[in-house]
Amino acid sequence: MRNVLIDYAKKAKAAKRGRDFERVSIESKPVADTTALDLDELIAVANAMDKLQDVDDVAHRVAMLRHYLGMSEKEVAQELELGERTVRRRWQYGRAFLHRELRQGGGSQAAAPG
Amino acid sequence: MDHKLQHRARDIFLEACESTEAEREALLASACGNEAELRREVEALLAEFNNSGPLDLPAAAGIPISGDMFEPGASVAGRFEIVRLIGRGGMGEVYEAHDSTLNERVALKTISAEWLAEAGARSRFLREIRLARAVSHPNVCRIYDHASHETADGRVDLVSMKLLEGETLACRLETARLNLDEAMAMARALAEGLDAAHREGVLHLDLKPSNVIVVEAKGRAPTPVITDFGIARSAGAETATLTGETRPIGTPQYMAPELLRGKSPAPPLTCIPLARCCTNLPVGSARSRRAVHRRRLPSGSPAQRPSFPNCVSKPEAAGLPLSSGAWLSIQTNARPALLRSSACSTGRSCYDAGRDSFSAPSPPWRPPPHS
Repeated sequence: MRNVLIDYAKKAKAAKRGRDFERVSIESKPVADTTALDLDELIAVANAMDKLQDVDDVAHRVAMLRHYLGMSEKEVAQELELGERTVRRRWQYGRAFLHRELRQGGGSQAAAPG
Repeated sequence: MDHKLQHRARDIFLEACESTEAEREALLASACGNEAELRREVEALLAEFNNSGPLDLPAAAGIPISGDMFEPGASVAGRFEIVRLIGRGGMGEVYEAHDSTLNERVALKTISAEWLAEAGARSRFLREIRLARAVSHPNVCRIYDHASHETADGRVDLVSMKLLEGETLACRLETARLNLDEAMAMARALAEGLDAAHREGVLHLDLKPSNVIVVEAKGRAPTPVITDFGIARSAGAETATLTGETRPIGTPQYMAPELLRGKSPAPPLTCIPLARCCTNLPVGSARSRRAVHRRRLPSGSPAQRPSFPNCVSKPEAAGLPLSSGAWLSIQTNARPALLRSSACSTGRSCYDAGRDSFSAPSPPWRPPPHS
């Protein structure tokens, strides 16, 4: 799911950069009016996720399931066979870590080459 | 910042999250001491604790979905008028349509071209549809006809079938929980449907709750109807699978371990998905979803593939008022029956074993807890 989203965001951004801007395919349809995250955010979140994985693998897995699959804390707990309190705490940390990364531009900087 | 410092920051952050504002300053002072970098990291995390941001938004809410193959009102194959899109599946899309030849509303299923791209796949597909048309049973969705439609992108194969009013068993299990009596009645009905198909030489290689529609009718008990014989094949046919590949076909969670190990499909083995559906029935589908995640189709040669346990789930985890011994009894009693007899007797074995083992009163019918 994550890869699908990131591929989608990168393709759409590439299409936007192209010269033939008027011939916008359905894939490069501006996302701002149809999605919750814009293309830059999708890529920045993905890069911040990679950083979180380096620091805390469990928090990373919890964040992936919460964010990309929309699972509840209870569902994540069942999926990863963790206690619900553990999941809640790792999600608190992962969410704060990711937002801090995004706010500090860590995700965007890493995203720039892609 | 090294990982050790980040782990310390995480632990202090989590402790601070559970502290009051008044306690927090003292906690930071004692935990961080004069380590300025550690304190900055904790404070940055705490600043985000109450802030909203991209992580609070769904990642995929608005990813554009590719267009449907047919729009409402479209005329298809010279005899069908599309009413609406009902759903999408692994093989294609399903529409409600009006069949002008039969003068009847039907379900019209499109078959994705990639399913029939292999040499000989289409002729196998047509043969299987002909076989499946012969199956007539209240618990099997009646297949009416095959048609093909030319589009700008090429030919599309279509299968028309009886339009069923109801939801899938998978959806039903998402929102409601069957008690044991209801589950056993459903197991028996599914077994009878499969048995009818087997008598016509048709196997269903992908039986699972999402391929069962629960039809509701006033004054009658809900009737489960097996759909999607699209990947069925004739029993004992020479070809391996519809796609022409030799890999096992189906949904790993429900497949017989023998099929996963590369054995050819045969009626007894294709009954095992029935048993797995049955054992999941009273449970709801949360466990099923998790099992699907874990039970990917194994790779490697048949000899290298792992065998799968036959016991699908534990009763205590499922919240069933059933002893472990009783549950095991259902599992072990059902399996020999599966291997030696028809689907119908399998269903009865499940039913009888369940009835005999079930001593406590049935749990009330209630929706699963939502978080």
